[in-house]
Amino acid sequence: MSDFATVIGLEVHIELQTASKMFCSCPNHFGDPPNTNICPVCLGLPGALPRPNAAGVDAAIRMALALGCKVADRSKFDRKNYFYPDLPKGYQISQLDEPIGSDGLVEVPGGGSVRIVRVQLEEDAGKLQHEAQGAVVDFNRAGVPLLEIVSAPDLRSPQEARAYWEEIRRIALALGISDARMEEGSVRADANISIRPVGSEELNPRVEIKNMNSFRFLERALVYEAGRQAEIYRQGGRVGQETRGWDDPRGVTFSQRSKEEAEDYRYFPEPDLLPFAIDRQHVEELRSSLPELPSGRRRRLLWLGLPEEQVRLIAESRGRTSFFDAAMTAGGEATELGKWICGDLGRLENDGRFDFEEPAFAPEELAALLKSLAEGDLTGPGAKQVIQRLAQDGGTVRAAIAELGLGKMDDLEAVRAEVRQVLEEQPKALADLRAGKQQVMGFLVGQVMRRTRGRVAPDVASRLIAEEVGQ
Amino acid sequence: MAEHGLVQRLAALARLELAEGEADRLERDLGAILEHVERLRALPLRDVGATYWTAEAAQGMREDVSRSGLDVEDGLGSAAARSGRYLLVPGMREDA
Amino acid sequence: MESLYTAADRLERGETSSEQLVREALDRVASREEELHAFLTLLPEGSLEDAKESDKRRLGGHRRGLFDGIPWAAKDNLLTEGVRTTAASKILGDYLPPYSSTAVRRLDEQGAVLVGKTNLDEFAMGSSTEYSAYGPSRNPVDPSRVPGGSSGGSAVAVAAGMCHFALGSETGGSVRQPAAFCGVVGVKPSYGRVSRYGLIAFASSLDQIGTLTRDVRDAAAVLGAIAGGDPMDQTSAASPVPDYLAAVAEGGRELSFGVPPEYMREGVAPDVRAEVERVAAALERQGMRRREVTLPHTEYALDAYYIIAPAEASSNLSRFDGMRYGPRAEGQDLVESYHRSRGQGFGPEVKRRILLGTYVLSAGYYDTYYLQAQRLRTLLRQEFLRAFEQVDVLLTPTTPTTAFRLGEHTQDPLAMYMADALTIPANLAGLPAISVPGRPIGGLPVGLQVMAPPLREDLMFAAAATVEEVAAR
Repeated sequence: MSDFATVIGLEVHIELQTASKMFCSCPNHFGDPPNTNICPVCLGLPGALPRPNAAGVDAAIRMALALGCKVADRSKFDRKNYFYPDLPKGYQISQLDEPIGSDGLVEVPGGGSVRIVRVQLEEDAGKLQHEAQGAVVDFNRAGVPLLEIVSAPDLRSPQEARAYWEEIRRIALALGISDARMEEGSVRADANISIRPVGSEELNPRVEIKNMNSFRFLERALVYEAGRQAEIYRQGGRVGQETRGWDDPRGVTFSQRSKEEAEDYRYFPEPDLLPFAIDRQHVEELRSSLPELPSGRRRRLLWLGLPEEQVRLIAESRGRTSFFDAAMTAGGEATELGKWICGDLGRLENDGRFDFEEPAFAPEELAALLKSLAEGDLTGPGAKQVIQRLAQDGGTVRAAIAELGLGKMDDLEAVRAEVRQVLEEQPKALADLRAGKQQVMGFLVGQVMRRTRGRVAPDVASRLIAEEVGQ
Repeated sequence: MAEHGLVQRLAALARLELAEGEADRLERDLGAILEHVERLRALPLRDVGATYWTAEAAQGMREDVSRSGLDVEDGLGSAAARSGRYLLVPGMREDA
Repeated sequence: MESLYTAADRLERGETSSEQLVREALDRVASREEELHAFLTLLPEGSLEDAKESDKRRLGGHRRGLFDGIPWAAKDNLLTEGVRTTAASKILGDYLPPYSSTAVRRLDEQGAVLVGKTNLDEFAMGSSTEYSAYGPSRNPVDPSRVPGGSSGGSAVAVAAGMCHFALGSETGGSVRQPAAFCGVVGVKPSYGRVSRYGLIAFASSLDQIGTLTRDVRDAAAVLGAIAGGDPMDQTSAASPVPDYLAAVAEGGRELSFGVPPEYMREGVAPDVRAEVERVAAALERQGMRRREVTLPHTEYALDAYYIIAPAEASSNLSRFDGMRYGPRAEGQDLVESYHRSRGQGFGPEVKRRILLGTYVLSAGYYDTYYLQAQRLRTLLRQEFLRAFEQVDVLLTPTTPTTAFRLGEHTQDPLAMYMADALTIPANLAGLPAISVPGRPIGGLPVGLQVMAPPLREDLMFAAAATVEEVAAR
């Protein structure tokens, strides 16, 4: 592969999370029984007319702004004509030459900058499934607002293509315009890929791989396709411009349609929908209300001194970021917060026992926990217990400490009494320690912790054990 | 005017089966109509903007409020074939 | 047959009942329908029930106004909830719509009684009603002649007294032309004046619902009842609807008019031209000022129309594929089923237009045909707007000839298209226009067309009232 350079462009489709569909009032809701959210408009019944959803347009403008695009002063809808059973009207309402956003730029983490050609608004099709007796169609998804984000062919590897797509998804999540659930097909991508000899600027025919719904599929399909094309050129052949699909179980792309068979979509301006002016002041309002984007979050967290791995983990989630920010505002120290959010709380989140989007306890409590630790009111092990308790039951750090009886033992003689009790119960360990086996010290400290339910700082326990043994 | 085979190509795009003899007839008609509009094609209109819409003072956009629409029986009650709550359509050749 | 107003007055005075009006209408249907074929669906039981309800309301003092209890008919491309709607096409079969068009609903709410759905050229594509999949309608004045089209059935129903008024639809003259041929009043409102929601689309940027009535005052009343913005149709005008009846009462004596020479050329029959001149002279005697105006691009309007309308139609008719409604023809696979359902469901004129529209939108032809036609539309509209700086309204013939015979043009699409040459410009420019009967020529009705600036139906009605007055003398 090293003698070829790869040229990739991506068309990412993102379903918008609006209350209603793009051109009718039907609920935009995933997971309902088939054909629940239908009406004359999204079923393409005779006589029905589309009515555009202002929230869809606003979401498109926000995405365009987040991608650094120019937002058009005037935009319009066009009809893209083709026949398919999941497309009830026989045309898709889309945008041809006056998209809402154009000429943007996005930074790919770990990659370069990618130019955005256009951000356009359109409607999704229904869902078609092949079955033995034919195909069945569910129109719940028909007419759901869909953003299409078209990149320039600036992506130089399958890995970069994947990273770009992931970044687009993170931006959509940060904006709150989509739930971007991969498993529900809310985010899909078509990729254009061609290869050329390294150093060459020639444009070879490109292959379009359609309708991928997972990052892994995309990367695998592009790796395979780049290899397939390289093999053709090495053998002196020509790659034909065509549309291919990805067969994941077999790990190959397969031909779907050649250039000659390409559809003629007969685009023309949608006569049922008027072109619309986009008010400058409205755009500026939307711009000023944009949330912090993942790239901005990453820069900020790095500047605060968090390690890269933690930066990545926190910045990719709106919930983790806002939790972090709120805890920091409450006085939490950034690197300590990073450790807890990516450590104990991150593990609880993975186990499904904590949700940063809807946290069981206020982020301010994490700051309070750090304060208790710093001031010596709480031991490290005690703090872990408090977090578990807060994640489960909510409440405050102060109340959890009291309920768990975790206030640090201040009375050194009382602690010494607990230490003696432990040594009495562990004659073997005691003997080992006396024999100079320092490794049992950890075990004995642990026993003291257990007896005191973490109310003793480990260094205090170990000093007292040493004193007892030394005497 | 209309080149041969044009009607078949258009009929394929428009998903229209034509009966025997129908294609020839349509090709003649299409040719006559296209010849008639030649005069319009010849007009120098390069600098004139297009008028796709004549609506004035039209309705604005819709607020994002959802409302339930049609029951499946009202929406798909006229369909030729159904499978439960689904619309059923013939299979595609690729599946075979 | 009495006008809507006369009937409403008699109802008000208790001289008749809605039930009586409906029975009279159904009697006239019974005596002439077999010959004229105005209707595709009749609702004898339903309309009598509705009439009795209306009579109860009136006797209880809850009359809903002018339209309550008045029999009317709707062109069968207007959706009527639960009532068969076919657009005169086999492809819809016996389709029962789950909702009503906004215009129909507005009349329902005012208590008007629907007696049936009227015949049309399939999907409103035609000028004679001969392209109906269910057989042609005939002109009540001379049944060997066509009633015009595509709203032929509605024009026949009103002209033959089968209802007091009817709705039709226009794309290039489909209300005004049959009104002219049948001797009734036909109105095409400005684009956007009436909601298109629930009108089976032919060409979306040209379509408008129009009225067919006995006289101009009835037309003003019916348009007033169905006009006004509708959130379901984004292209419908949000601006308030003027008082059309006041305009009719005022008349057009204070207005100026022009007769553009482009509408009086050799393609127009000499006696049709003579009738327009006769009326123009009479208008001047009434005090209306006549000024010279010219609309030089008129001759290209027909060409532009026969590009734009089929293009939009080819897309609008894609939804008729036999899957969600209408009969489905089986094939070996989906694509074959599409081809057969559409091939068997659409008639020859519809196919002609779908193919033409597909052609002018296809890759490589869009600019030379579709874009060029939309550019011409700009010039046409500009010319009209300039003319309306000189005059309030324009007076022209509605059609180049009186009603032609059945079969006269069915073998020659271009000759058929010429029947719309004088009505098409108003559709392309989005203007309101009305056809008012002139003095019959050789026993056949002839129409006088009044066009006005966009959304100025008030000027149109004022002038039309005066035209109606002088034409009858």
